[in-house]
Amino acid sequence: MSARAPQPSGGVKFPGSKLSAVAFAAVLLGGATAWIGARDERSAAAQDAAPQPASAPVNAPQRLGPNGGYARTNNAPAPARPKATTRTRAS
Amino acid sequence: MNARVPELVRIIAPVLAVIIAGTIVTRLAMPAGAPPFSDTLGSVHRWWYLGRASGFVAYALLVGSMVLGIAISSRVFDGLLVRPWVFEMHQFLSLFVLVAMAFHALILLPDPYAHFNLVELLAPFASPYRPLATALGTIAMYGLVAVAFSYYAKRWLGQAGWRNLHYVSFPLFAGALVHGVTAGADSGSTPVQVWYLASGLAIVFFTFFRILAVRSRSRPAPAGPQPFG
Repeated sequence: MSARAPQPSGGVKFPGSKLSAVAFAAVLLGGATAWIGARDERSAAAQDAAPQPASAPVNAPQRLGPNGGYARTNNAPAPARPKATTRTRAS
Repeated sequence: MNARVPELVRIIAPVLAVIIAGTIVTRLAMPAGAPPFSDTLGSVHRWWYLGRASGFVAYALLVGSMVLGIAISSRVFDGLLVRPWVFEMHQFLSLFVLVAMAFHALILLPDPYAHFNLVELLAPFASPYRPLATALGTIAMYGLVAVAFSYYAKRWLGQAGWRNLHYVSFPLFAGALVHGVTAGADSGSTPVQVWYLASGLAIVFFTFFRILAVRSRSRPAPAGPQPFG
């Protein structure tokens, strides 16, 4: 992103570095997905295990995960939209 | 055949190193009592998880592309990295980040909870989820498409046009960072905050380094001692 004219490029160079960048992206995607999913699934499981009052509505604040979530945001998706699960998304 | 073996090793070795190191880091970073990865992949929220994770991937690639791009003119990595490698990787990452950004947006399409449609994901301010924050990301994506392809349109843009378009990448990066902070559901966690802070400061540092390096190069050399008489 520099403002200096680049040197002319001649085809595919440094294939090891480029493959490493792709591998880095793939590993980061897998690792971050695992980390995010683990945190959310763990907090959701903890919410499911916790005793809920009989009158507690779905997505009640006490069921939310530690890092907030759609249901707590002011601009959450419209409530008319059907949810695929009754479990609250942690975020 | 024999001559190709070291070349193959040279290509495959760093890739394997990245995979092994990444797997170890992921293992170490896992929260205590984390459910197995199959739970995450089998979850109905997997698209949402992948969308969030791919946002981090796209942002990391953008940071890498920015740092290498600034390094071309500032020569900050001279002596550490060869300049053709810096330029080649900058160009490659500039295009790769576009793929990652498109993946980040489109992977949310099948999410059964958010019910995003294509217009909401690709048009600025159309998303019902944090419209301003998501719009920043969308605008950054389109802007970076223009910057990345400006190299190929340099003949029509001219040197000045190409340079000015490249300067736009700085506010676009800021937009992407603000998008990550304000739209990201993980911005509350400490590792994510540290990453955003460190990467933002790194770009600021390299930018100032570039400004100072170019300014010092353009300054005329001090005159030598004047001969007497």
